[in-house]
Amino acid sequence: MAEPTVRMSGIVLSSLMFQHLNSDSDVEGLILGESRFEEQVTISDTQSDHIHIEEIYNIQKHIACQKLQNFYNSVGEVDQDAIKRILADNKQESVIGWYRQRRNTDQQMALREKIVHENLKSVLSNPHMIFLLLTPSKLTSPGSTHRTEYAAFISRSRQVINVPVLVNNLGLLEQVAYCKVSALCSAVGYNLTMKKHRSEFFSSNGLLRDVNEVNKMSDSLQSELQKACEDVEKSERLLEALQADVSDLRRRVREKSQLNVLFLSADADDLPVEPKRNLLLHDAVRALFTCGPLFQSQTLTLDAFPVLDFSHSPEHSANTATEILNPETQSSEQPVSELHPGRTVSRKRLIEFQVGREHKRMKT
Amino acid sequence: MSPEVALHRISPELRPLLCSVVRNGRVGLDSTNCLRVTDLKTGCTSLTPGPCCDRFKLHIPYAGETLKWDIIFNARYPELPPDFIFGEDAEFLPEPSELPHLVQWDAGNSECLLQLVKELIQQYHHYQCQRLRESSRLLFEYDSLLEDPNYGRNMEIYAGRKNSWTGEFSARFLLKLPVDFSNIPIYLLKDTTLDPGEDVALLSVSFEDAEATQVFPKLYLSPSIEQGVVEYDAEGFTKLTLLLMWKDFCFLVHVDLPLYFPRDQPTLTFQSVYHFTNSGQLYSQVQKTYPYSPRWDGNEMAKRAKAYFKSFIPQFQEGAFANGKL
Repeated sequence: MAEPTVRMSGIVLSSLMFQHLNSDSDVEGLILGESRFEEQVTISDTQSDHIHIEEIYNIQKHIACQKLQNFYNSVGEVDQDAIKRILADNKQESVIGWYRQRRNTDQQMALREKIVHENLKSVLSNPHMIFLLLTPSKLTSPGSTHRTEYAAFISRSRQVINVPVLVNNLGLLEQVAYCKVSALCSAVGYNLTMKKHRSEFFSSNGLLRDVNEVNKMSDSLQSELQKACEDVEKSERLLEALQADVSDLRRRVREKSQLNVLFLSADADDLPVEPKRNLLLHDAVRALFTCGPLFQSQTLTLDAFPVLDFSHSPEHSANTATEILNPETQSSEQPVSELHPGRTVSRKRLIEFQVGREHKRMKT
Repeated sequence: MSPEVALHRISPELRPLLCSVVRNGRVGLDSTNCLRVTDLKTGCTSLTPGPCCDRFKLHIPYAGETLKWDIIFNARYPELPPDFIFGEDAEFLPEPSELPHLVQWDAGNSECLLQLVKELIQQYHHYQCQRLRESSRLLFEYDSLLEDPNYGRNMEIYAGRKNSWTGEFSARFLLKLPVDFSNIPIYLLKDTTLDPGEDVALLSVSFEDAEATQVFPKLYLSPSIEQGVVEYDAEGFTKLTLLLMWKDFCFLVHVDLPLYFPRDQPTLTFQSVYHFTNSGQLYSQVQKTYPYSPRWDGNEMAKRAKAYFKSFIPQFQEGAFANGKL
């Protein structure tokens, strides 16, 4: 089934509107252009061939009538002579329809318009004609904004079908619209110029002369581009490999430095897995207490205090004995702690304790 | 919009045409409703000084509906005939040759537009009758009425659109009932300037489906008739009270249709408007045995009843005077 489409350039639409704007009544006239039928076959994997017929009306020009009801009478009978007078030098074959502009009315064909349309089709022997209707109206009550609705109508089996009008370059831009609509120009000067210079650009088969050269250049460009892509790919792969090598080397260096650190720390202590020691403290304790009678003692008092054992330290034994026997001689020379040179060992108390203990022993 | 306002705003050259439409525009069976004009607009530019309206919407009562047609003139070309847009009836395409006042349009004849509208309504009626062919049952009903000389030329048909949900087709018949109103007593009009129009009784029958299984009748009485009818059962149409006058003697007649009418005879109760009984009720007499036959059609029954009234009223009047108190 044919789906009609009506196309019009913005220039023609604005020209129509301008004509009505400057008229104090409804206006009407004839529309010139071309109409064609295109058969489109859609092939898909899911369904069989689908044939789609597209009916395209291309409005290119309009001729205004000097007054209303110029080419028809009160019952819509069309006067062919009047049509010819209106057309003047234009060809009757280029008439694809007629138009009317009426203010403040609905976007519907009126009674006489339908009758005129049918009669025009038969008079011009063209079953495919359109009726273009423009209906301006006030959008706001003060009249600051006006609106013009426009639509085309075709009649099939005495049924009127509303066909939307597409204005070229207005609204959504369709690539198809650009390609399909060929703006035929009827100007004589234009046609003469084209005929004169055509052979310089077109070959005998109708194609542009330089098309082949351009195609070759395009192929060369494509191959150069291909090569450049390959070079880029190679360099990228090389770069990737180098980066991998660098990462590997860094990892090995890091591991090696870690091992070195570990080895160094293991030689110093000879106990690679033992925890670190406070060597100074260790020396001090050893110095102070290794031969000390307190640590050598294996005897405890009743109060669980160890009894000093002097047998393992002769030096200390002598000093200690002296101090026990002569407690008065202890006062001026206080033994200095090896750990804290500023401190003195409080032996006085120890001695008194020892005397007390000895005393206790003696008693018991 | 009142007629005066419409006439004030219309373009002066078109005023006579519109004047006859809004003042004398009674078309169709329902002559009580006039043609109305709304949505007056202009085809001139907004800078044109008024009055310059030359297009409007005409409201036409038809078969219980109101048709809204756009009528388009051109103020700058007042001699040209108008064009019409038939609202929702976009498929209505009358034959121009059947519109004599369009073929011979005379802008100087103030009645031309009104006559053209009447011709269009007639064509519209034919168009609606054609649409009845979608339902054989409704077409049968229509053909039956067409054959009856009482209704043949006094019918308006409106074939509604199919219900988009159920796909059902509906129709409405508006019939002018052949009733003799000559004996309706004179009554006073509340508004003396308002022309009550012709006495008419219209029956509207709505068929809600194509098989005529759901039928809804409705009775319309012109104002003058409604004045004569005191009251009636508007749903079941089983009761009717008439105020009649015979030789300056006014009385009420109550007509009660029994359940099995027409097999059973209606009851007629005559009631005086002047006389009371001892119990304070209006003096009345009930008649159940007057001449009657269930085989009579409605008109015959009404005719015979009317004849009976004439014969019985003198006797009733005497009884009222003798037995009733004023």
